[in-house]
Amino acid sequence: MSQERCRKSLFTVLSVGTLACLLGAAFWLGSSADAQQPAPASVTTDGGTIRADRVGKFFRKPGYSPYAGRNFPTRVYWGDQHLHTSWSGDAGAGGTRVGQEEALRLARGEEIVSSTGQPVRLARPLDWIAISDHSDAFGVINELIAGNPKLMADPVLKRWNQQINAGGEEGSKVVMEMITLQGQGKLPKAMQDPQLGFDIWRKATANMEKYNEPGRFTAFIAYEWTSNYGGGNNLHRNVIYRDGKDKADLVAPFTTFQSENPEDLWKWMQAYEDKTGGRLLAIPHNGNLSNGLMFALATFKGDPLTREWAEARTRWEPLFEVTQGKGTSEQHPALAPNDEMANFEIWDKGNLNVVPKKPGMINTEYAREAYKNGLVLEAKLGANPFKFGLAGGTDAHTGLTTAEEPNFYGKFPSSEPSPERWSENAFDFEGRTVKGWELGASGYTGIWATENTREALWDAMMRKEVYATTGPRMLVRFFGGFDFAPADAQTREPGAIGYEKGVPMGGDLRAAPSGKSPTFLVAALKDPLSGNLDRIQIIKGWVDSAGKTQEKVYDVVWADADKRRPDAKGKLPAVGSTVDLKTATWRNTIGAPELITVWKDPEFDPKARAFYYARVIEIPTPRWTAYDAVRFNIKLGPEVRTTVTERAYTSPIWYSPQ
Amino acid sequence: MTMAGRFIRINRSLVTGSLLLVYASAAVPCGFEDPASIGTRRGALNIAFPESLHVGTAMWQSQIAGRLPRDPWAQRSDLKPEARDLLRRMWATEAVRGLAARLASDGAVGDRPTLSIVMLSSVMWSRLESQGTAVLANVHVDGPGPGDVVLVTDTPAIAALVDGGLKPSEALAFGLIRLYGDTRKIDVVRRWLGSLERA
Repeated sequence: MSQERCRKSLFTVLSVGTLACLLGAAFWLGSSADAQQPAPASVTTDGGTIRADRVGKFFRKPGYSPYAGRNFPTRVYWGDQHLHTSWSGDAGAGGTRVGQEEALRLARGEEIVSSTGQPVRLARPLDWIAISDHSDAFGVINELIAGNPKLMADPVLKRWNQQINAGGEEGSKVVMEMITLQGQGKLPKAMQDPQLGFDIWRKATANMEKYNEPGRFTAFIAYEWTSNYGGGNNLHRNVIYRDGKDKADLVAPFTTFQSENPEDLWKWMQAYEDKTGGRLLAIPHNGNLSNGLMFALATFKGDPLTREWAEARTRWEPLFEVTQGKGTSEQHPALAPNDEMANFEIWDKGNLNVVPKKPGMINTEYAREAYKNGLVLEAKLGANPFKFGLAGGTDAHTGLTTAEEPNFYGKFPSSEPSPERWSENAFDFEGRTVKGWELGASGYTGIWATENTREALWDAMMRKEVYATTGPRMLVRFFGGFDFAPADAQTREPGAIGYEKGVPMGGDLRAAPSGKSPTFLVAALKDPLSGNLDRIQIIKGWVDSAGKTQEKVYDVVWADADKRRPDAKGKLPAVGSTVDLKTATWRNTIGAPELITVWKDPEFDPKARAFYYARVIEIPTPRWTAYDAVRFNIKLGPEVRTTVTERAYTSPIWYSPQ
Repeated sequence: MTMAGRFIRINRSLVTGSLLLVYASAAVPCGFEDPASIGTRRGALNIAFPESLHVGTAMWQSQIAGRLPRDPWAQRSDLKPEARDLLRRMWATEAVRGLAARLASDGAVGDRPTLSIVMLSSVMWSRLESQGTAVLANVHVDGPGPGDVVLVTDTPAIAALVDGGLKPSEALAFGLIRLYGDTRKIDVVRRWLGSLERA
């Protein structure tokens, strides 16, 4: 940017001369966040000595354009960091025939045909995607069908390939044979060959390379490490590469055949980085299905947590997927009885196998509880293991990244649009069922980044400058500092003042100046295709003087403020609803298209560790089930939710007294 | 085996074998008897019979368009799931037997292939075997036999074929039935089904 200004200056400030331009460039760099060296006070040249304070006026301030010279993120890039295709074993088993390339084409805006023969297209293209097929048995079934030469060297597998491709009963026979051999642990060794998985991985990275267009569409190299420790206790992580194929191809993805312990995944990530010089991060998901293990207060083996463990977790897992098709893991309503918005798309029957929960398990499954426990652990260990930002993903196993209510294609092909999908079992383990209507059309991740490249997006994930939504693409800014004033909320550009006076979502505030409390600039702009905004809330958690964790939800700005005032208990009246279930429509006659405010913590204790994050709530709109009811002309059961209050969750800003 | 080893083995079964286990019930109970796995078992047909799931979409699209009757029990809130499934099974059985009767009524005697019919919503298999001019319907069998032509469809389409509300050519054109197997045999089946239009 400085160099660009310099070039302009050569044309417009010739009297200052080239050396002055150089000095000016140095001055500009010196004022940037990336500067490593202080700008010199003067430069002596053949033409004499040029003082920075004399020429700096040409370069120090932006010119007419208020945007020139900016280096902070000015755009949100939308994507899904959690999508499965036919390359995932369970997706293929469920009938998914949409492969990685078709999934990528859909994500970037093209129309494709789903596994059930339905044309599908997104309302708007995504900016990026991370296809995270399971690393276990990665793509093996597709390779068998396609006739991978390594598999075909085995006579049994060659026969299977021929029979499957013959179709009909021949294919069925193969399947039966595979079942029998699988049960006996006698599957051909070629199918379990790690080298085979590695070869298939390289095909996947080639796919991502083919569709990755820096500046236009980012296709991350990624996979899911799928630990179901103990029989369905969800410890899954999506591993996201900053790198391209050149580095990603040097190390085979980690599988649960090697270990189900997340600490071993971190060791593998370290080894990858050591070997390749690349960078990785991991994003856990579905704490709600972990039966108490996702944010357990002990290691995988049950040992006490240590500072080293805490630092490792924070390093490798900067984000958590807080919302997706199998429920939302922000906070359980039973743990936050005063938070009337917490009861949102909750899946709390059991773990991934619907093994019922025992009392207390939910205490270590949800993000907000983890944030609170993290503060306690930080004081105890010197490091916070649960200092993560918030992301969203679909976890769709259809190859279709659909997270919008009117365009929801379900979890598996069995839940792609049909009149029966709401009533069928989405999961069924010996009678412990989750019904199809309980699937959520969620979610996406918004990333504040300087450009649409793997590197810029990944770096933003690492610094947690991201937020989750349940599908809509509302723009949300969230800054914390000690000097935000109400007038800052009058600007049309909260980003400019936000970066100037504070830190963005994912950042840290330390050691409050004497007499000052944290202030927050928060702004949201509605998704043009979705509902108006109801309110913005800031959720604070802290550790009180007795060492006990606390939380509080503040309504900081809301729509229709002339008509809606908090009651005696401080509760804001509901915004109402304009949803017409007969037509699956709504009107934006309530709510607001944008909300912005500066909020100051009224109960701040400078000695208490705390975190703050924003939750942006939309007015009620039709849920996907309501669209199904109208489009299929069916009557849903009374238990089925038909409206939804979509929302966004920002990554937190943490306060530490030190 | 250590505890960790056992968990690893369990997980391997869940992931590597997820495809395989799904198929296990294809040869024994149908979805009416084993609803737990019906979604994935139905989906798994997409491998052995490519694009067979497209039949399900064609089915509801035709129902919405009024070309096919809707499931008469789907919206009956007074029925327990078990009762609903029993009625659906009876409807499917009646439809298959009705089709066998209609196909036999053309009176022709020839080298007709055995027809295996799978109802997509329940993954219930039946076989229609020619015996002279008669057509024997074996409802709810384990699966297709060697050399069978497989017909993927669902009850509303078969019921409509039987009562004449739907022509076989329409069923094929709308994707309400899909045929898999030997090309020559499929041609024979197409002509055989075509006899319903002439009847």
